Order: sequence, then structure tokens, then C-alpha cells
Amino acid sequence: MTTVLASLAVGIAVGYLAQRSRLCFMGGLRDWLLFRETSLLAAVGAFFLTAWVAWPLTALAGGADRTLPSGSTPLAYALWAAGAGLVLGFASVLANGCPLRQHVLAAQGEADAWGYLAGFAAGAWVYQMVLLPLLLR
Amino acid sequence: MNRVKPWVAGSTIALVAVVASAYFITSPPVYGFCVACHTRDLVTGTAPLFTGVGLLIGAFFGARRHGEFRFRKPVRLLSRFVLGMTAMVASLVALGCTVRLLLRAAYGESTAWWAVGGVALGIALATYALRLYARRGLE
Repeated sequence: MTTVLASLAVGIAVGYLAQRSRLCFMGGLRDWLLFRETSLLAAVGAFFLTAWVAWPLTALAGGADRTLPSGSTPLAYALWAAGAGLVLGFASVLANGCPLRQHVLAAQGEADAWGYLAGFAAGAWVYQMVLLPLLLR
Repeated sequence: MNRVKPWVAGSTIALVAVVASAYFITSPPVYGFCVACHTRDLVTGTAPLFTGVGLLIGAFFGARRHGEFRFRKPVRLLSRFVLGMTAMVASLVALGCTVRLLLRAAYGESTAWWAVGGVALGIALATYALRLYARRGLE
């Protein structure tokens, strides 16, 4: 029950803020590259800095265990992560928004974003039921 | 109007996500907020994480309250469907959507740094590709 309520509350708060600020985690870099417009890029930077400061503070204040995987990342993992990130970034630019922004657009009445969200859900199913069993075979 | 400045929103969202990961959704580390993973958990029935539903409610409320809700007819429904699917699969392989990747990078996970670098490169490549495409007048 905690999980349901917490995730719902977090979603509503983030959704509201993202709608009011037109926040997008892809738009920052794109707008800077195209127009040298920095407001969204500053938002991404502020997100990172706040998280970077808040993590150790929550650990001090009795938050969940902050254990990091020891040692450096194996090269294969790193390459998979970078490759997947590249595809994610590319797809986000083509779709005109990161996954968070697509939720906001969908809630504002943009029907194209409904298609995106349908694909998003379908992708989760395809990954879990088809790709993961193939990879772990 | 009553807009929230993007950097204020980014900072607040980071705080909400970190607090949620530290005290409420603690099971895998850094799991308080993820657009992709939480949707996956809901779709496959792994965990009842309603983050995506909450996002829609919160954004809808914000849009309605400030008269910004407007239905826009679909023009690229199929291509957006494919892009959504691609983004989800890529997010799941990278272990997080754009938001959680940054959250993990700030947490100090070195794999996430590679993923964030990949995202930045992907954005840059697509942006320049689109600009080139537009300049040639092919669009």
C-alpha cells in the first residue's frame, strides 16, 4: 500500500511541476545545440546537483542503505549502457520529448503522445516477455 | 500564467525523487522515480507502481487549472508508437529512463555515467541530423 500511495503521490507532484515548467530531460541539450537556449539545460543541471547533494544527506538522516557496486564497471556493461542510452536519446529527439515530457504532453491533450504512451507500454511487455527470455536463455 | 521556473522544478523533482528512493520505494537502490521502470513493473504486474498514472493526473490537473488543456489531433500516431516502444526498450536495457539515469549518476553509479554519456551523444546526433534534414528542404 505504501508503494501504491508513494508512487502515486510522487507521480502527481512531478507531473504537476513538469507541466508548469515544460521540463524535458532531452530538450535541455537540444535547445542549447540549436538555439543556445539554456533554461531547460539549467533545469537538468539543477536536477543533477540537487540529487548529488541530497543523496548523502538522506543517507545521514537514516535513509535506505547507500551501497555502491564495488569496483569499476565491466566494459561490456558500460558499452550496453552507452549504446542503449544513445538509442534512448535519439528516439527522444525524434519523438519531441523524453518519456517524462511525453506523459505531460499526453495529459495536455496531444493525441500523438497517446500513441507514444501506447508504444511505451507495449515496449515494456515486449521486453519482459520476449527480449528478456531470449537474452537470458 | 503562474509558470514554475524550469530550474526550480528540476531541483524540486530531484528532491522528491531522492526522498522517495530513500524512505518509500527502497527495494532496488535509486528506485523512487523512474518513468520507464515503474511503467514496466505496472504492465508486467511485478510491483504496483503508479508513477506513470500519477504523472498523467498531476499534469492534467496543472493543464486544466491554467487553461492549457487542448486536444490536438494525431498526425504521427504510428511513428510515435514505434518511438515509444524503442524508448522503453532502450530505457530498460540502460536500467532507467532519462530521469533515473541522471539520478543514478548523481548517486555515484559508474554504469549510469556511460548511459548518460550515450543519451547526450544520441541527442546531439539526432539534433544535428534533423537540422541537416531540414536545411536540405527534404522535410
